[in-house]
Amino acid sequence: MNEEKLNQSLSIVGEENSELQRFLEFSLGEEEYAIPLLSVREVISVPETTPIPKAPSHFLGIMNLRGQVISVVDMRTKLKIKAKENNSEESVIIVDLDGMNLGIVVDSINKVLAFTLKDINEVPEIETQVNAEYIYGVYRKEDSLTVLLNVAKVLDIKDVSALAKKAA
Amino acid sequence: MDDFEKELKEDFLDESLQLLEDTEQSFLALENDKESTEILDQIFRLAHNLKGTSRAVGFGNVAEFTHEMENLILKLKTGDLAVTDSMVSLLLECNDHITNMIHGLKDDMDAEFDSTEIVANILNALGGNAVAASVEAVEDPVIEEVEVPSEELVANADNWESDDTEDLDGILDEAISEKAEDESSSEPEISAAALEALRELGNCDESVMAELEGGISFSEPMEAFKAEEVEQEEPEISAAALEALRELGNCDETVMAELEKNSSEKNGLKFNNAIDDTPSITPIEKTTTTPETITPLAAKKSAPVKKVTEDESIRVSLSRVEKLNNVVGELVILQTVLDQGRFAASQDQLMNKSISQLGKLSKEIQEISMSLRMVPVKSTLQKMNRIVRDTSKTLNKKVNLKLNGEETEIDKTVLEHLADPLVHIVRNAVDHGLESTEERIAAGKSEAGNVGISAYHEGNNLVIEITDDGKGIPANVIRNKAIEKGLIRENQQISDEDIIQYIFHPGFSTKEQVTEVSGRGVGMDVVKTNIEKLSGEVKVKTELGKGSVFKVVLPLTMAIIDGMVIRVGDNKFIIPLSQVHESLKPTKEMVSKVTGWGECLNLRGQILPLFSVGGTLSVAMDEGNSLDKIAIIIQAAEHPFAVLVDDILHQQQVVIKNLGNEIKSSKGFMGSSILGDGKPSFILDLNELYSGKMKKSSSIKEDLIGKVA
Repeated sequence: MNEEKLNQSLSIVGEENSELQRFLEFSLGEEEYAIPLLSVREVISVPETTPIPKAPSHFLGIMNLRGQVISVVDMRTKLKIKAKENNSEESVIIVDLDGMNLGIVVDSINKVLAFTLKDINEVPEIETQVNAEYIYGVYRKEDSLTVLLNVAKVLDIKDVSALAKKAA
Repeated sequence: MDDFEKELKEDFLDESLQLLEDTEQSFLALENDKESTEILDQIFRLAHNLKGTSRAVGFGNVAEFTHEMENLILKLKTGDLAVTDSMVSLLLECNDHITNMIHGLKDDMDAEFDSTEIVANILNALGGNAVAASVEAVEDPVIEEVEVPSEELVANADNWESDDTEDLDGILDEAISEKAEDESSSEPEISAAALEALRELGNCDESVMAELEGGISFSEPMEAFKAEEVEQEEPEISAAALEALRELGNCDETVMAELEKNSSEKNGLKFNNAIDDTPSITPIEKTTTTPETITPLAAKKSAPVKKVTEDESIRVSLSRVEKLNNVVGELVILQTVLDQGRFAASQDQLMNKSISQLGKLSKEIQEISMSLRMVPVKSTLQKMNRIVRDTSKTLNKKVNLKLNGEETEIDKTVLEHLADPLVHIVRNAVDHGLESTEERIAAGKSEAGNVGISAYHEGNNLVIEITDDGKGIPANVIRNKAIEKGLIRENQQISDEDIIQYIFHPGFSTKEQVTEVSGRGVGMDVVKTNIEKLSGEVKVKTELGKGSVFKVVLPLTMAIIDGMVIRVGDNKFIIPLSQVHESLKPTKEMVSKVTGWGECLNLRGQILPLFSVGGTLSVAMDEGNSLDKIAIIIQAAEHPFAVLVDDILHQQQVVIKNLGNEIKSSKGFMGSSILGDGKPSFILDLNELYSGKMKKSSSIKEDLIGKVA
């Protein structure tokens, strides 16, 4: 992925390359992921949900967020990551994807990262890599790797149409 | 363009659309009552108002065109031209043209428009009387210059002491009615009275008054209304008038400057026009600015009235109302939660009383906030006037349209989506429903067909009925068409009433000839889908030779529906009560199983396919067979069917919440709502959920009927 493309896909975080960008880092299983902080609306504890009939398994259900009904998605199921056991830190991040709100279940919320776009490493393209298109890039600090996740892509149109087909 | 000017223009655009709707109605009324001076007066006033305001806010194109239109109306008013159908058509064309211009200006305030063609039509209608036309044209500056500042005065009404204004109005009215009584005479005293009135305003400087008084001698005010007597005026006078107005002190300098500019431009332009028409300018018979000053001031009579209405109603953006409704929706939900928990949580009398009080209040707030979205159906119904007129003209039929219940209110969003289906039904009533004039006479009916549209409330619904006294819908024609299309079998027994419903089938047209009016491929199926999208339904009743009735039933609002909360295993779902026909506990005799087809329910001799909601949605149901469950009968448009649920919990009003895009595309979910326990629940659209299976089921039904028979 060249820099221009990266900027395009990260347009939500800002224009300038040199500006510090903020990301919210969270854990899915043993791995670290992050999404642009500007797309995060709030973080809540895992709410009671109503299951959605015939929806793919990663759709946990719909919840009542102060009167607004939004869907909750288990990111771990979607990315096929094994959830932590006996986890009391499980949370839901409410993200705003172009005006559409969505809840994402994660194992824990870690911290806010700040770095410039230059610090983002491109993902080496590996043929077998399934998840590559979900990923903006990787941010590496010392020994830890954080995957910058494109939530909209993870749950993209494919899912919506799959859902529609299934229900039909 | 500064903000103020922009705001002014935007206001004008909004208001003028309303004004145009009014003029359209007046034109249509005029067609039915060609002699009515009252309607003509009203039309003239509206056109005049439009012209003045458009000029004042700087929409030159509109002002120029409305001026031409006003000339035409003036001729009608004075009786120089007779009101004919073609004249009304021309006026309606003018109206459309202005409407187009306004819409264009809404998109782009600097838009320019070409009115040459339609102006040519107007001039043509004016009888090609070149002299008259030029006189009209020359007369233009008078009105332009003088009246506009007066409009400005109206706009500045706040600056005047309102008492004074009212006094002035009274006096002016008096003066003008006196004049009206004695139109032919030219007594200067009358205008003097008007001047007196102006003077009483107290804001006028004596020198101005003197100047104006000087103008009186020029003529008799009412002459201005009589086009033939209005002749050219001297540019100096208008300059003087401008000067006078300026001295009145209430006019904005920039406006004045603009006006002055306009007036000089105008003069140049007009003289050019005049030269085109007539080689020399017609002799000058002096008129005065005074009558012109009076006309707008008299028009001002309406200004204070308008002020009052502005105080009584405000325009609020729909998004704000929606926001309010959302919050109120939450309030109601929260209230339900409180209410359901109150006995369990507390034995405190005061607390319980407060909660129930809160319940009443929130219900009231909800009602108020819902009512904010309600608007009368009047504007939409009135549009049908035009539809009927145009359609009947094209088809050469005589039609009387009768509107009823225009004040009936309905949710604005529903109303907006209602217009198109309604237009279609009304058009069909005129085209398909009514016979030709000859046929009507032969059938012993009145020459003119009758179409009626009435709106009324029925329970929680709004009903709009479109009736015609035409020939009715022949069931056998529909039947043949349906057989031809392969929708039914030749020997199939279907009642005439059911057959009629096939007109709503996609691609179904009984019209052999495609006319200008119908047969353009937009069929009744679109009407039906559009109305069903609004959770409404259309019913048809028809009697051969007597006519047909189309009954459109719509929910008053889209945001709240009556719902039935059902249980399927551990899940709760909501079914719109409007879809539920009846519910029952099936007995052993009622349920029959056909291998390969599934279960069927024998409901008083009618065989319905029996579906299980749990099975369709892949949701686990309680153990037990169909006899342990409850069957809900859904009266779908095509075929009734039954669904099995574990239990019916209760009925309640639910606030519909939209689903996010990620699940919106799922079929069968109308939306969601939050139940009393605070948990969201899906609202099922059973019609949609089972529409795919209905094709199959219809054949099940037929086959079963075959077997039973």
